[in-house]
Amino acid sequence: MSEQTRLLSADEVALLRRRARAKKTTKSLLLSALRHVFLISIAYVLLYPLFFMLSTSIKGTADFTNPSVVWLPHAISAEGFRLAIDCLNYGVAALSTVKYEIVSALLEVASCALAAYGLARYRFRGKKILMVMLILTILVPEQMTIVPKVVNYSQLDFLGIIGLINRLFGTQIRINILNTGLCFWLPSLFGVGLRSGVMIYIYIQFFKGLPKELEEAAWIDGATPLKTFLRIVIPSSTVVIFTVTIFSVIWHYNDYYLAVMYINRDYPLAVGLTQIQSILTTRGYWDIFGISMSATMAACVLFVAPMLILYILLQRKFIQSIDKIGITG
Amino acid sequence: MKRKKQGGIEALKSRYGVYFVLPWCIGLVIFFVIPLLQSIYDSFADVSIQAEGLQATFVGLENYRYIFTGDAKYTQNIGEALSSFAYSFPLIIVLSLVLAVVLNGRFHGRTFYRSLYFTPVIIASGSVITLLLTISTTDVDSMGGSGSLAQVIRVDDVLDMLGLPTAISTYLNIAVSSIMNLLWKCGIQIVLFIAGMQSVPELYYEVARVEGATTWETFWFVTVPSLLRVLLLVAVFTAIELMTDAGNAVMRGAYTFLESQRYGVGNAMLWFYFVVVSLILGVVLLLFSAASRRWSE
Repeated sequence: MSEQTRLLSADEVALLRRRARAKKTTKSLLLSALRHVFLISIAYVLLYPLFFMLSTSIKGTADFTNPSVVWLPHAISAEGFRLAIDCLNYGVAALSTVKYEIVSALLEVASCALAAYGLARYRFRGKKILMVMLILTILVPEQMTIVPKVVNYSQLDFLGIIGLINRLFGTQIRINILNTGLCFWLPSLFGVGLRSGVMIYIYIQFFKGLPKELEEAAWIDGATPLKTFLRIVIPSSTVVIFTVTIFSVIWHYNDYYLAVMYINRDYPLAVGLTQIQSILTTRGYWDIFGISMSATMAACVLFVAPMLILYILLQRKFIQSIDKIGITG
Repeated sequence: MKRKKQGGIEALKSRYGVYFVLPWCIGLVIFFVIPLLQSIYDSFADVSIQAEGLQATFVGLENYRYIFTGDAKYTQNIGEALSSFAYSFPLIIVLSLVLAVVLNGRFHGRTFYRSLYFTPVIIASGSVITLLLTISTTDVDSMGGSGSLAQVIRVDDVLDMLGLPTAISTYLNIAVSSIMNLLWKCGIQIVLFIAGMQSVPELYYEVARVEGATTWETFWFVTVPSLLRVLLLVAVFTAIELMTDAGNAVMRGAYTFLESQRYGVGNAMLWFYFVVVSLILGVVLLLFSAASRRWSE
């Protein structure tokens, strides 16, 4: 009894403390070492295709048959890149990527914000139906509506107005917007473009979390809702706008399905990339493991490069914005 | 008109709300609802290309009868799509949750690791990743050359040394070699999970610490319950991504029909598949909401 209740001397307390601390630090050291090992090994698996891509793109024909070459070729060859630029028609393809995809990506960032603000902040009749429609736009794959869309674009007729004019005046007006930027821009302008549902959803989540007080103050001070939206909501939503812009640009940049359906010349880069192997074959580069391999990988590098550079420049901001966006489901 | 006057400020506000949503509604009708209805109709019709556009004649359930009796591959494709969904869906969710938890901790170099793990978000979801993954995982093997994943890790050798039966080791080998593929599909999910974890109030963790909960307990009793809604979002997103992926067996099958301009049959394939997928999603959502209700009680 007295043994247990006796006070510890100062030395003993210090010793015990030191022991506990030592135990704790070794434990945390071990943990952090484990964490690094885990993260690095998964990262290796994850990034393996990228390493492979980079290394293969600069290999020359000789390096493929040389067993001593694993990652680094003996001599850096630009042959693959030259062939890839030629096959992809890189300049033209890059231009049409900007013209079709990037422009509509940015349009979508704006139009989705507008729709999401209305859905997040206001109550009106039919809102429930609209929310169901929103979920439906996320659910329904693009493949299901693409054929009717192509048909409609080949003879554009907003709600039968042009058909009515034609019938009334006996004219033969027929508007074909296939092969123009309009079939990318129009849906984006109305906020129903590529994956707009997901973007609206992200916006709604964010807007719901914004404090209402500022907007109410603006309302009382006599600002119109549009002004409130532009002057108060937009400036306090830079985080979510940044994230949505990144997603939108990436999704549009990578899209090839819509482009294949809507246009038949001057394809954007993503389409060129899906066709690179058949282009190489028709040009007579059939050796799978030689130059056509490095050309294919070089094409991948050329395709990924703009987004990767953008990402490297913006990654800190992107990662911070992920922390701040606050998705609560 | 009368109603609006009576409603006063609330009605005025609701009218402004309508203004905000109006362009989207118009777009929704023109670019979504109408094409969707047309494609439903097309699935019940024989569609052919004429000079003045598509000509659809109503044929009833003919297309649906064809996809099950005339086309040998369709049911097989559906089976393939569903089974690949069944094994990749849970793996993706678990993998991305684990990675998100690890990346969300406070430690040195986490910004570096995060930027590494977010790269799939930048690159994936496109043609490049299909090309990269197929070439870097399969063709190199046949080259007999320099280090594909299977050769780097040599899972089967390791497992043989451990003395596991061949059946199990082959299965694990397949699982490991598809992990790269699955990891590349985890990008957005990790982002969503981390964003969700950041919005869990720090207070909860403090309480857990004060109460003396272990890390494991904190994970199960604080992190997971607060993430339920994000989990739901991620689950739905993943399911949609997997089901509508262009590499999906049903999608590929239907696409060949669309390409050869048999729109009626292609549409019927897509619609039947969509109904099946929606039913599965519906069941999952119901189970999930039941589970989360029990959890929060």
